[in-house]
Amino acid sequence: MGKVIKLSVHTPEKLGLKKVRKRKRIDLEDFGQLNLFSQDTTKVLALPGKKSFFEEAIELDERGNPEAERYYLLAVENDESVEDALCNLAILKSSQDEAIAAVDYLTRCLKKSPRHFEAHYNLGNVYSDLGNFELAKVHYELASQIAPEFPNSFYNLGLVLISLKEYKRAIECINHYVSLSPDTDTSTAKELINTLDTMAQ
Amino acid sequence: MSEDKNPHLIDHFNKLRAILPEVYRPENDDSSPTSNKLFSLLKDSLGVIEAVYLQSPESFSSTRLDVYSNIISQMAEMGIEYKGNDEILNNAANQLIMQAKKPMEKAGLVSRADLGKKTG
Repeated sequence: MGKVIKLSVHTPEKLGLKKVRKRKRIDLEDFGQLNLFSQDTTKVLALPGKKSFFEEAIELDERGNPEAERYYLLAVENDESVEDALCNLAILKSSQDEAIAAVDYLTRCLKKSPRHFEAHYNLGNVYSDLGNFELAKVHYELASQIAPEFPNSFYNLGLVLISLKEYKRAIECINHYVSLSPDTDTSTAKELINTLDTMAQ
Repeated sequence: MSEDKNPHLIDHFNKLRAILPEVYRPENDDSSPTSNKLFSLLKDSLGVIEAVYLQSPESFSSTRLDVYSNIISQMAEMGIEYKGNDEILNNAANQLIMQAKKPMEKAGLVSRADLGKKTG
């Protein structure tokens, strides 16, 4: 009769899920090899699809999307239409009642392009909002010299001149606005001229 | 029917006036002590506002200028004579004028050649 040998039974260890542990990265440079994958100095650039950052910003801005600001800043960072982007950033800041930031963007724009028409015109608007009519006058005058065919510079200059009590020149400017805007409803401007005529007499 | 045209009612209204003077006081009668006191307080308050303005005009936002000029104009409408501070009223008027200005212009939308066509 054979001998029965009793074997000890061990419950096998359950092989469960294993957590992934972060391994200590081997620094290849310790072994004299140049590490091609070091991420310390790599600048990640967001690639704009087919459009440039500036074009994307303009589209977003036209739709009133607040993302426009980020895209304008990306345009500035990537050297795309920097002056125009700075100018439009100023408009966004002005609409957020951040007049100082608006002035900052506009003056940065003018530093790059001293005859930037929109920057001068918009500075005129910001300064008149701040009640600084003398500075507003200077910038509207410059805007009207750079783009003499643009009517709104003359209209706003006229309003500033009323505030400065220079009624005769105000009439000239608003008359000029009317002559430059044949297709626009200028009834308000004409009414203003009539009132000014009485005041100037 | 107007009370003035009916002699029978005149007596009736006169009695009512005597009983309830506060109800039958004419609308613009400022002679009551409360009205006088309120007017005096209003004048003092406006004086404080003007003093603050004179000390630091830059602390006056456009909204405050607007509120101040509205108070003066409403007082005038109510028949209350108060001259107000010329400088504050002038600034408020300038601000009102500039509210009619044409808006800011975005750059990069049109070429300079199109500027003549742009107006708003």
